[in-house]
Formats: sequence, C-alpha cells, structure tokens
Amino acid sequence: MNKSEIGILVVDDELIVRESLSKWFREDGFRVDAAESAAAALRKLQAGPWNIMLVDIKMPGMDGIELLQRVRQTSKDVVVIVITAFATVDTAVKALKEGAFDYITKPIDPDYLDHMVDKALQQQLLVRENQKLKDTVSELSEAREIVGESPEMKKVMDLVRTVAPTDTTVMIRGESGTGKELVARAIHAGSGRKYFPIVTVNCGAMTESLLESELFGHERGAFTGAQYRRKGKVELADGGTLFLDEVGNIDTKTQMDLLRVIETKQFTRVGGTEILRSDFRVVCATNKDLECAVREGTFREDLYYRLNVFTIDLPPLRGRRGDIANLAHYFLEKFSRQMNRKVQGFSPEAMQALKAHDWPGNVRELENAVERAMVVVQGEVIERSHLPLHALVTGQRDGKRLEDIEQRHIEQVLRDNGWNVSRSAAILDIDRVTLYHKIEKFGLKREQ
Amino acid sequence: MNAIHLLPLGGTSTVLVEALSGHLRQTFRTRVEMHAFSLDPERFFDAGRGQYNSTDLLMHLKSHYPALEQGPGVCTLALVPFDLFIPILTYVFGEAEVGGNVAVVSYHRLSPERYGLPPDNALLLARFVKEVVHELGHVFSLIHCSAQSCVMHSSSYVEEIDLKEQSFCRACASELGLRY
Repeated sequence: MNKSEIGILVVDDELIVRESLSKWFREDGFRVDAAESAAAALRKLQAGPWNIMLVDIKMPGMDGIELLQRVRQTSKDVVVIVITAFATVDTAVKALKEGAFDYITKPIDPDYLDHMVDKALQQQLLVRENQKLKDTVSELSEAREIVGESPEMKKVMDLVRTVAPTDTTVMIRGESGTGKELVARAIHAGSGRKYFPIVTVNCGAMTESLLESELFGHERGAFTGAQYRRKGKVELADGGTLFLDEVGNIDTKTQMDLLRVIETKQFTRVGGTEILRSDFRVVCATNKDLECAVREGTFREDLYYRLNVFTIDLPPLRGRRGDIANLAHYFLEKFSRQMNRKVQGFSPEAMQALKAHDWPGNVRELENAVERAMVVVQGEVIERSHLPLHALVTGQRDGKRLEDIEQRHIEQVLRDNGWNVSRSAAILDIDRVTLYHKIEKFGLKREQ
Repeated sequence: MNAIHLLPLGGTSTVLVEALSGHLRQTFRTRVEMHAFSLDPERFFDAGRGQYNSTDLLMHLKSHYPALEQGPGVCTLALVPFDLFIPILTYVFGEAEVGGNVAVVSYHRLSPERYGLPPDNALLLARFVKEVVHELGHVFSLIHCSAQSCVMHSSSYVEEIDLKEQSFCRACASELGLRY
C-alpha cells in the first residue's frame, strides 16, 4: 500500500506533541491529521478512514482509555497505540486490555516509533487478510446454499457447472427473489477466481452519479463530501468477479462507461486522471426484459450483447413446485440453528398450504414465511396458522398485491397532477429519483 | 534550487563546514554561502533534558533570518555541534521545514567517538553530508524514500545513515529537478 493512502490520526491535548508527530509522519509520506481532544478524534474518526491512532492517555475531559473503548466499539479495524508520559504497569495493562496495540512513553525514541508503526501496519494487514479469507470461506459456503432437486433447477446447476470454470460473462435472468445472487456466487465459487473477492453492485439502488462513484471510485475532492480517495467496486473486484445486480436499471451514461471498462479493463476514478487496470469477470442479473429495453432504446445494444454471452434463466418458485418442500425444510433447519430452537417440521396442512401458494416473491418470500413461522411457533411443529396469512391466499392475487395497489396509487397521483413528477413525488413523500424508478418499474405512461 | 546559506552555530567546526560546502555545491549544483552570525544557542537549551530544542531554533531562524535571500529554492541551514531534540522524541539528527526555507542539522550523534570507537573524520563528514542533504531534501519538499540507498531514506541511528548513499535516487532527483 502506498504510504499516502495510510492514515495516521494523532490525538493529544498538547499542541507541540500534535505538531511534532504530525510532521514526523508527514515526512514519511503518511496522510496525517491531529485532534486536540477525544471528542474531536471521534468526529475525525467518523469523517474518514484511519489506519493508526496515536492516543495520549492523559487528556482533559474524555481520557485516552475511554476514547480507546469507544474506538473499539465503532472502528474495530483501527490500530490504536497509546502514548503515556509515565509508564506504569497499571496503565499499560489497562490500555492493552481495552484493545490497544501497544503503548509508548514520552519522549519517544524515534527508531522505536518507526518500528512500532511498521509493526502496527503489519498487524492490520494480517487482520484484514484474515477477514478477507473468512469472507471468502463464507462466500464459498453460501454458494452451496442452492437447494433444488426439480428438473428445472438441475438444469440451472448444470449450466452453472459448465460456465463457472470459464471466464465467460454470464447474465442471470429471473424474477425478484429467485436467488440470482446465489447463482452468481456459485459461479464465482466454481471459478478459478474463487480465492479473490466477488463484489456486488446493486445498480438499481443508486442515482447516476452515485453509481458512477460506486463503480469507479473517486479521488479526494472530486465532489462535495469526497474527503478521501475511495476505491470503486471495479477496482475492488480485481482478480475476482464483479456482480452487477439489477443491471437493467443502469442509466445510459454509466452504461457507456461500463461498456468501456468491460472491454478494456481500464478505468479512471471520478475526478482522477490516472488510468487504472482491473482484471475481473462480469456476472450480471436482471429481472427486466432487456431485449425490450434495447428495442425501446433505454439499454445500449452493444452493452447488451457484451453482457448476454451466456444466459441462465432462473425459474420462478411456482414453476418448480417440487422444490418447495425441500426449500422449506432447508430454511427450517437454518433458522433452527440461528435461533437455537428445536422445531421438527411442518404439519401436513401447513406443507399443503406452502405447496399450493403462488409465491410471487419466490424463494425469498418462502424464506421470510418460514422465519416468521419460526418466531411465532411455540411447539415443535409449524402449523398452517403460523404461516403469514398472505402466504396462504392462493389463486386470488391478481390486483390485490401491495405492488398493484402502489402502482394504481402512483398512477392516480401522477394523473391528478398532470404528470408533474416533482409535485407528485412531494405528495407521495418520496424523492424524484425513486418516483422515476417506480414509473419505469411499473411501465407507467402518460395518456396522450 | 538557487542558494544554500550555511549558519555554523555554537562553535561548529569550520573545517567540517568547508568540506560540507563542497559536497553541497556538487550535489545541488548551486551557490553555497557561509555566514557568521552571533547567535547564543543557550536560549534553546532545555536543562531538564540536557539537549537543545530544534523546533524553537528553527522557528527563531525563520523569524530572524529570512532576509538572507528571498525567493524559491533558497534555504538557510543552521549547523550545530550539540544534541537536538523535539519535545515528543528523545533526539533528532536534524529538523527541516518541509517545503519551507529553513533547516538545522547536528553532528553531535554522528561522531564515532560517541559510540566508543576511535575518531574517524572521514566517516563523520560522510554522515554529516548525508544528514544535511537529507534535511535539504525536505526543505525542497521531498518526503522519505523507500529506497534503502537513497539519501532521503529515513534513518534513526547512525548505522542506518552509513547504509545509505550521499545522493538522491533517480526518482527523488527527478522530483527535485521538476520542482527547481
């Protein structure tokens, strides 16, 4: 890591100490800031990422030990080195017990200070690598969570096994809640990139500028509030997989930038000029009809062909009813472990209701239904009455889903306000971007 | 850079400073001038520590001797024989204002005799040159360099000074060339 990317925060009430240490570390090329009190340090801690904090124990108001306790609660990643004027065993033990990396006494031997900072950075690197490995293991085990014995799901798993070891771009299509992200993780877990991260970008949840910054990162000062350089998801996915969820919601400008980075594997951070490289595989998911979006001109044709190299269609749960019982038992076991409850299974009536339901929210809805039932069940068997009521209404959902009511209401408000989006958004108490997303989602059009 | 003004204080060896001047002229390819000012260093002495406060000395130089020459790439460098400290650290070999125009370097901890070894003037001069060039590098906005042999590599003890060269590595030299 470049030293200018490593942040050191000096916390001491004595100006001369703050100035001397800041200067010392600045000469080493570190990014340095100083705080005159524990309160000021906590504010600075929130504002930006710090690697190391040098904290004086004796400060008016909140002392260094209390600050250390607060830091340990909120920023577990920061390495704290405590500075003390008189080293006593009590102080040292207390600081170390509270999670300080080490302590140093004033005045500090310059060689010892450099050595300590080196050691602290090495320790932080090890902790981060350890976390990364844990995440990878967790991702690999999550990828095994795909449950399904139905011919439809067997076909999906065959496709996953075929495409995973290649570096081909994959597009996963399916309704919301069908498990597109799980399939993406399974593809990543079966690839040669499995020991590198899979980085997810939820393209539907962000505005144009936010998405651009999320994807490509930004330089310090690139826009108001960009106090620090931040790496984007494209950069973080180096060596691994970039999973673009809800790819059909990307605005046209970002579509162009994305196409360029997929083709060249080169990009620049927002507000930056340096050309960076990242080696990643693209897996994307959508619940939209992208062919239709291409025809309508809202999705770039070249990007569509670049993403749609290998397609996996996920069947809705109502299209693979044979998997419902397996999935329900899988979630039952999962929540039994999580909640430490002993629930044996479902009553025949409950299982029949589960199998008969249409599951418009697909596997996610089933998972939520089982979780809720696990919370309310008193005995060892889940009865029909424990399942959420709406999950038992079958065959009568047309026009009665919450989404249908929302669509009708939004349409009505837009019509009443002559399709003035700002005014309608204000009445609906949502922001304009959300309203635009909903108009797009429901396919609402102004009557001519 | 345009000029380096040397201020030997507190009985600094003239022989050492003259030898140093030659090295500086060669390294920085600039004008090096020696000045004789009467400055009592005792005002910077900390009786509690038995050392001299380098930050105070630096600030004094900055406020009292700015008029030696104006302009970018000009530095006033105090050379002292006594031990320097900054309050948070036990000692420093020198201190500079990064991107400024003043610096101070001591040769108190550079002589082999201090470590129980026989006197070696050549070694003392070599170490002194390295520390002076290092602090001047800071004045001309360089930060520490990761290259072990570069004079801008950070060194906290004399053996580390001995490991590095008297010159800048290619990257640091180019950085200096770009700026001045």
